[in-house]
Amino acid sequence: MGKTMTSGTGNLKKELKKHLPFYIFLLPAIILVILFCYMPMEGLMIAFKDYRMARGIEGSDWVGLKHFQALFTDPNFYRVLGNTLKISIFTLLTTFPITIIFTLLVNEILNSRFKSVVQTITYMPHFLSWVVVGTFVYQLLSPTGGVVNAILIRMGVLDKPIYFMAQKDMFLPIYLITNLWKSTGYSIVIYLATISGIDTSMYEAASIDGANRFHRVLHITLPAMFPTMCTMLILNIGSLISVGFDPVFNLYNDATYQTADVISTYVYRKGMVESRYDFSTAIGLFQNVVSLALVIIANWFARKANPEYKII
Amino acid sequence: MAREKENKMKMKQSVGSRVFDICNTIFMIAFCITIILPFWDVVVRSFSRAQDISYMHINLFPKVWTLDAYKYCFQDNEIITAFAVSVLRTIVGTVIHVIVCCMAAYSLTRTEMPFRRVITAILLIPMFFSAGMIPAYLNMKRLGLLNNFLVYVLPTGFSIYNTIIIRNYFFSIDKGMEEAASIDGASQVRIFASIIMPLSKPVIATVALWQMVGQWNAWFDNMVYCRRSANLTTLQYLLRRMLDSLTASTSTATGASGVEAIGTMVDTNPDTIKAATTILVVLPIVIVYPFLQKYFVQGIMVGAVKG
Repeated sequence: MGKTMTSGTGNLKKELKKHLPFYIFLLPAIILVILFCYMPMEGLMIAFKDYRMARGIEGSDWVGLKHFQALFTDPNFYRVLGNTLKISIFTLLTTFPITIIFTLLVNEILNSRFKSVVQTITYMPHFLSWVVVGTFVYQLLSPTGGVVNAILIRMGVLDKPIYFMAQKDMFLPIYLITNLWKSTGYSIVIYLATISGIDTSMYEAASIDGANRFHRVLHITLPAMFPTMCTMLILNIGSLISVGFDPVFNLYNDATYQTADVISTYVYRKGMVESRYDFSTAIGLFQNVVSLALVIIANWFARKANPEYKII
Repeated sequence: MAREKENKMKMKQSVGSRVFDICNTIFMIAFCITIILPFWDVVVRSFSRAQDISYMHINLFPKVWTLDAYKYCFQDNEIITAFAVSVLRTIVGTVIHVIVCCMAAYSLTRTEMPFRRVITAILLIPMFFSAGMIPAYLNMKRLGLLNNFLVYVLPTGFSIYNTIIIRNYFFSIDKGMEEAASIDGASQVRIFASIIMPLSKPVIATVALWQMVGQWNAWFDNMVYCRRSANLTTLQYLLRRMLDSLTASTSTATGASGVEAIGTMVDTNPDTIKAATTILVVLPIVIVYPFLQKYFVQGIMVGAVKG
């Protein structure tokens, strides 16, 4: 660092030579990124081409915006876009407040052993794959031998079993509950880290001044969590248009496409199942461009709200 | 008078506080039970006889404990192969990931290295924009990685997020040791391998555990890139195919898009076999979970504090 640039190129050469081992250390990472992140970008061309497998990406004919025109006149696309927005907004509206409330409740557990037991158990589902979680849900809600149907029938709520997973109106609630089951526990980690940074003398001072537990939470803990809350909210808004593939794919089926199909699953079915590579690349490109724009906007807001915030 | 009032206030507070504690405890217990129940349901099924888990039974324990489902699983070549593939990809994938990320992270600690910013940007951009599913698939095809084991372990080899976490940890290591070794004539490779890496065990453990879980849980790459090769099927994807056969057999709608052929193994007694397979999928995670829990908070802290 401290060196001053005396003789431009000579110095650069010396520095490059000095750092040669470090460039070599970076090589594997750079090669992997080029192979698996940058090389696929060439394939984005087929969003503007009439892709023929035999002729390859380069050899196929350009068709301009044909696929985007097809996309914007495709009623399925609007259904899928609507589902995506609906699912992500409802997910945000449920997970966000519930995470904060759950953080506060966990933080108020006095017995530290009980607290760590609660954390251990509730963090667990985060580490399961969505395939496993999907299996759980199908099993619990199964009309033949599922626990939920059995209980509801015993209680007299239902008189015959319902195949919940095939009800298109049930998809959203099932999705939201499953998502909460899987992620609520673990998502408090970042908030708990913030809370652990609060100076405990503030709580002591407040108690001496006669503040009860509720007051302390309201006037000390919550305000301290606020910057983290802003960051999380903004980041969530940044990913509004991208509902993850995994949770939807492992919870939906033919019967619930109408309400469950989101952009990523639609891309998969159009592309990988129906082999309409060019068209589904166009859908994917649309999604990625919009989500990039949202991330940039969200990041800008995050910086405004919290000057210390950096994406990395 | 005033003192009495104050006392009353205090009493009221502590009563309210205690009521809250009780409610909170009850809520937490209920929530934990909600988390555990689906696991328990699968455990019970996996140890039950097929005829016992029939229509409308609620069993807290198996009527008769049996290992039939597990015996079946351990005799089924498909399941054994899938288990082996999952284990192999987890080990190889994690080793590659840790080495690549640590090497990159070590280089990124050189703040005076020429072109550092350009290189960082090259590594960072894919975090914000990716080509998407189909271009990625066509690229794998071009690289000859379809139905190839390498497709499990190479694309996951590098992660900028983990690299930054490792780099932040490297920054906290005392520079003095490195300089001393350098004066003694140790090469950069030696300094990296015999000073930096051993001192960074906590962060390496964190990243390795995250990657292990990610590798073990991965199934999408199997479905898209290795769909047709039976000897590359992972345990997760095997379970996923069982799910498919379930939705296909009970779904009311017609049309077979996205639904795969039903494997021969699910025909016997799907429920118990499926439950046993689920246990095989979940068990390794449960085993490494205590270690995970020890390290992940630490990792997040490192990332958050110094990010």
